[in-house]
Amino acid sequence: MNSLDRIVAKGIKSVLEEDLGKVTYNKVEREVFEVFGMTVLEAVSDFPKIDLTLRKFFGKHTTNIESKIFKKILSVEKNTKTESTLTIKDPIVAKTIFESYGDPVKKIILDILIDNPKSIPETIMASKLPKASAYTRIKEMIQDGLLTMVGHTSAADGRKINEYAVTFSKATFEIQSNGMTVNVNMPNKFLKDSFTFNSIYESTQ
Amino acid sequence: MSSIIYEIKKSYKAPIAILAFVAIITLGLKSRVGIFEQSAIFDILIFLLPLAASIASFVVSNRYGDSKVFGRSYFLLGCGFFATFLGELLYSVYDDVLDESILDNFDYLFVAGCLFTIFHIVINVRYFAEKLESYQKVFVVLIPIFIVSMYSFLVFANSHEPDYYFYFNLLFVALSAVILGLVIAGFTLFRHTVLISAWFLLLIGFFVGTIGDLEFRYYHTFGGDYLGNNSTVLWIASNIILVYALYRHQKAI
Repeated sequence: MNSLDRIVAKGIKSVLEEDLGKVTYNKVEREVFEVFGMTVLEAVSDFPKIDLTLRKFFGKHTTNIESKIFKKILSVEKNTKTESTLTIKDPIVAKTIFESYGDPVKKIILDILIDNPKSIPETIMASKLPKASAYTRIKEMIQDGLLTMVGHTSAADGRKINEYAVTFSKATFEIQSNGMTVNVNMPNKFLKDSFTFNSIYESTQ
Repeated sequence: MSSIIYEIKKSYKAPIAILAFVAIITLGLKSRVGIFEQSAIFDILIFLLPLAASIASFVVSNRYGDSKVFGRSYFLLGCGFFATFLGELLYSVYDDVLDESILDNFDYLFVAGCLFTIFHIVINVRYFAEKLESYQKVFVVLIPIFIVSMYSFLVFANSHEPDYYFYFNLLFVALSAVILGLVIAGFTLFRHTVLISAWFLLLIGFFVGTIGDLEFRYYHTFGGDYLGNNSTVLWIASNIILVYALYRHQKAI
């Protein structure tokens, strides 16, 4: 599951409701639950599942609808060899990121992981925060796509555990009269398997 | 392809049944001398059915809230049917009740009705397709050209000089033909979606309505008495099919 797709997941609901209506979204939601036994948010994070459901409703036009949805949520501003600059326009997605950076515990975790990837136990230890609180926040940030799994390391008992890094190397918030936008820099290695990024990138080529 | 045929098989019986029902009622009335011409049933249905279609469109629009595609497009379609209803109502009031012949003055309401319908189809088509396929573009262009040419040919084949009535009616024939071309393109676009039945019924409804328009405009060009000809029957059937199409749309998604 890609981090950017997880971030975008929160915006899909609002955009689908805005374009096709709450009733249509509810039908999609019901179908996702009946077929995969999961919520739309979970299905969007695992993109082929929501894609399959939308295809059942809209056939080959799903690609076009998805591209429209993604473009409403974010745009690719700059694309270099190593990094891409994205603007997140959807207010719900932008608010989620803003709240994470505004949360003191999450901010400490982000600061720890910005330079070097670490496992969850290493991060908790380095943060000197209460274990339960730090663990909950890390899990939330993984779920929201703000932390990306980058590899594996060995725990003290020899178990293989995941290592996480900060998804955005830079984030700038802009608060305007019509809402909030976030400009973020993301390493291309995090984007290469993103359904959202590839969909937008292909349509702009 | 098989799923398209399956969906069409599920939907084609309703328009045939509606057409047959309306035709039988018409024949029944026609068989009784003088009743058809004087029948108030058709005069009432001709303006009540666009109102029913308008209400059905507003119900569908309300179901999708103020969403940018379904909500707005079905609201516009409702406005289109409402404009047609007003046109038909004023037509009937002036023609039957007041017995005044200023009939053409209300035709701008029918133009508005057509334009609203065109906006409805364009909104749907533009959202679901980035651009039309070549064969869909052919439908959008060739069908209006074919219908307008056919109307012109029929008029001129009867040694009619191009006068005000010809150009006036040509506008309505062209608008109906553009709607039909767009609906055909829309149907081909939605044929792989859950909306196939709704768009199939919309296509049949508008097709039947276009034939009715064509016949009415042909008679109107010659200043003929159009009451009692087939266009009334076709319009009634068309509106019933369109109401049913709207019902199927809100059931599908």
